[in-house]
Amino acid sequence: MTGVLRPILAFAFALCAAGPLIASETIREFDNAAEENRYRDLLEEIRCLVCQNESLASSGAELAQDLRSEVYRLVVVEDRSREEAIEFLTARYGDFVLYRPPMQPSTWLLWFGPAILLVLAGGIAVMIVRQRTDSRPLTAEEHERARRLLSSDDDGPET
Amino acid sequence: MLRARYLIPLVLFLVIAAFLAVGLTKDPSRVPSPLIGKPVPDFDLPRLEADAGRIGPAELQGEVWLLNIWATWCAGCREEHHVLMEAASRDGVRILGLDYKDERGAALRWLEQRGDPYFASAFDPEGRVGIDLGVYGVPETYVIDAEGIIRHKTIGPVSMEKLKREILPLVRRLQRGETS
Repeated sequence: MTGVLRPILAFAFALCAAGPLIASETIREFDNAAEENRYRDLLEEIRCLVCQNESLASSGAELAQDLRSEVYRLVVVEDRSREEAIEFLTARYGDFVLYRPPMQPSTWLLWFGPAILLVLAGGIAVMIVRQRTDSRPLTAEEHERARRLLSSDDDGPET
Repeated sequence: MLRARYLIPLVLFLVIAAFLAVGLTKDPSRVPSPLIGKPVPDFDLPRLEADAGRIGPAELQGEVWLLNIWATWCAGCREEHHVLMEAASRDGVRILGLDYKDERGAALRWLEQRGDPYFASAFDPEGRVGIDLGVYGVPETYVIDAEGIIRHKTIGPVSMEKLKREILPLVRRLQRGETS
């Protein structure tokens, strides 16, 4: 047993130990908290185009590292605003780099689609529930028919 | 009436299936470039050959040319290399190579061993120009017209089919002065 486990454990340990080496990251200096917040906030907002489901903050791709340096240069070294930094990036990589796409005709469906679907589904649900709880009293004719149907069935329960 | 109601799930299914089927044929890693229809970002980079001066789009005003971003570490570049060779030698297309985040020695060896499809090569070891071009998946190939406007962009290796069906016809049209 230990003969099998030992190499596995050794491998697992090696992986853990290698982690910090792989994720070596430049340490950034900030003059004040506002600057740092602007930088960190932007990294969360920007998508890494190489691994599209990760933000710049979490991606280990080389391009993400370069873009982190670029964002740092923009907001810290050149002291540009958040809007200017976003404009810089979208001019090069398109709106797709933003996790929150801008409101424009081509994204209306994206922004309002879920709400429209919710309203539609809610409306349908209300309709169905209304139909099922139809509590209109029976007419005399219907009463008579129901009575006949029930009494004609010998095996059924007596009413 | 009852029949129609039972058809609703089927119709819904078909609509969703149709959308998903279209979605499957698209490659999510191909993001449309905002640079198409815009002037190629200006740059002035050293040539790949050491101490050989500098090169940039300014020198290509009035010509239709391709800008190919490549590197020796990039597998797709290996794949498209023979396509670029053919475009340059047989079809006479002018290709400016941009060696992206690479080592000078390795790049020069590559061109010497495999052949050099570029009329000139620029060297961008830090990838600064790459960011201005919105490069995120090397290789990338741009078609640039005589006015310096980017007309087309290919992300990933250029296949022989893509060259013949899309890029060459576009280059010829642009060379004749047609803008569309």
